[in-house]
Amino acid sequence: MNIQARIIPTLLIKNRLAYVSRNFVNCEYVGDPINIINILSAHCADEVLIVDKSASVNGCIDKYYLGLLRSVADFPLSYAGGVRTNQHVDEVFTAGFDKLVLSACNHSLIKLAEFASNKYGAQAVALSIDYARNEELFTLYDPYQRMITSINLLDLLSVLPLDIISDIILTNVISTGQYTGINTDVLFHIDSLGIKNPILLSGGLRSLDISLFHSIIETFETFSGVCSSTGIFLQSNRFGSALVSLNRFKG
Amino acid sequence: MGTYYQRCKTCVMDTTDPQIKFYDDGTCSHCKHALKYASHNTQRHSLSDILSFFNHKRIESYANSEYDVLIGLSGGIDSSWLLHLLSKSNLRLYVHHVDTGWNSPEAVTNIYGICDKLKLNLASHVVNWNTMRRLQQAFFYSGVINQDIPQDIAIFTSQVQACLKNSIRFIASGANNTTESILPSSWGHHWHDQANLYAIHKWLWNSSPLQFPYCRFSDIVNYRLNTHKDFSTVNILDLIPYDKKKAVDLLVKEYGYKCYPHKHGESLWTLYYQSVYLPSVFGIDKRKAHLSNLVINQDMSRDEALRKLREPVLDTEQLIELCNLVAIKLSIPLEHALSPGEYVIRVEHDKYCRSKSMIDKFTYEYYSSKPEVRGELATEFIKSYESLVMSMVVGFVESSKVSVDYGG
Repeated sequence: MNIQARIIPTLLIKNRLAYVSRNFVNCEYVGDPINIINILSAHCADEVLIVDKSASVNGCIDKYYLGLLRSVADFPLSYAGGVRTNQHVDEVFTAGFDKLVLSACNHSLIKLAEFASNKYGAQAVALSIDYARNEELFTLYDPYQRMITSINLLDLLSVLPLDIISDIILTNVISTGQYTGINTDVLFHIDSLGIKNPILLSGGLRSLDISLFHSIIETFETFSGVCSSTGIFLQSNRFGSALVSLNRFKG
Repeated sequence: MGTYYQRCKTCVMDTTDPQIKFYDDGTCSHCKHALKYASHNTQRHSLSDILSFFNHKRIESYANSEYDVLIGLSGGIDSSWLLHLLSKSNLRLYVHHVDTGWNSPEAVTNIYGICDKLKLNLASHVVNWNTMRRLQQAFFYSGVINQDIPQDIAIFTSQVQACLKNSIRFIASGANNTTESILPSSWGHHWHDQANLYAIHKWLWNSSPLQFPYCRFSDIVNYRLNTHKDFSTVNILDLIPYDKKKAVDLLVKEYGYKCYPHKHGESLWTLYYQSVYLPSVFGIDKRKAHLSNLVINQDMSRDEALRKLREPVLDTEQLIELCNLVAIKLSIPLEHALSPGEYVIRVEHDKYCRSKSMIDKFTYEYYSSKPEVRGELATEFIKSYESLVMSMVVGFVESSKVSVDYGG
């Protein structure tokens, strides 16, 4: 089977500025999102995920700014952040975005997923699950409460209506921004559930080792690629350069 | 009344520079000045001489310093070539890049391509984009000639901060007379005019820029005059033979260097400013100065330079793409970005505060006075200029003082 792993750089935006987060807490400022998107466009990125942190705080979608980002990008764009109502869903797609990423902790998840899926197609909806690993248990992390819950990841997956969504993004919150390498253990457990949705792993990405991704694909059919803010910098192996300024300076 | 027009017979400079002087043989004052610095006319040292100078000075480096030389890397040919040359030595390099939000894709490829290949760490200072945007919006509509002041002050201030913070003795600069000796003063303004920056920001926003790289003006002046007690600047490319064509060939071969289709293509803002803003608002084509340098250095024939001048700077598609990006980034209407001349009234820098005439007067007096009284002149100037800066500041400036935040 010859399937290319997708590498989806994630751009974390707060007040229209781009950041990279470490463990979901410490944010490092990395520059102007428009310029980063422009650079990614020139380097032919496959797909980019925009996560707008301010949208959840402000309770509204910055649709004007999303439109600006769209006008600079010439690749598919996914969006996550602050989607609470059907109107928000429409605003994201009207701005020209191709995919909506909904958090598993979103209280209206099922309602919104159904609405978006019926209107824009299941391929346009993705599910994002943040988890923490506690020995053999994978438990859900609630980004709104900023705490690790006692909900078992596998239990959650078995009750969610996965037929109305496409990708599932699994983020290991412990290793986010730590360059410790992506954790594939969770795939063993997902495999046992018989889930067919494409799985994107996130958190801890250290290098864009394409051969590693291929070996994962060979073992786990559902593995589809990685989704990472570090991915912006690690494009180096693919394009001969990192894409935006990154503090690689010791200390 | 018809306008008098004349073009130099040696280079391609013309009367669009109102201060140009022509001689009886049809050559101009710029040629005369530039010929003094042309690579084939100046005594150059070998690179090993320069490196041994640094190595000799190394023992004088600060005891607690981890680095010998700071090198500013913009991704342009000059700074990339300089880094290549210095990387061959055993000097401890501090490679410093300032991201003002306008890095072109090629610049990013080049910066990381070279640093990765040479296995050098890169200290990257990302300027707060919201501050930069507000400053550049103010400059855009102010109608002053030097639109690059926000970028330049950010870059050089950040360099000064990095030098002071890391106790670095030398700044190796890629600035050189070989490719940049012709630049009419009437086409620009001192990059270090901090008071003007504050004044223009105040004019539009009635506030001072926050989280903008800040250092004392005395540091900037001493950096500019190369009289700083803590560090000094060495324009290495002026001291050694520098063949730009060979440099580019080697950079492409060794580092996969991506050439820029235009001069200053590493910064999209500078590209926009020189190819759209200046021609539209001031009727100035800066290519005349760049091409004249090439002609004087015998890198290009005058006919070829004239032919290039007849071509548009950017083709229509590139122009619209660039203007669109500028409009989006600065949050201004596209038509303003496309033809700023129709929406912006050109004015002198002194309209916002009289810092330009102050700096001009000081520069003239400084260079025409005896070396022994220069220090006193500079101290006096810095004192009066700093009080001018403070009068332009709204609120509490020290709160905007940021340490170099290597935000990555």
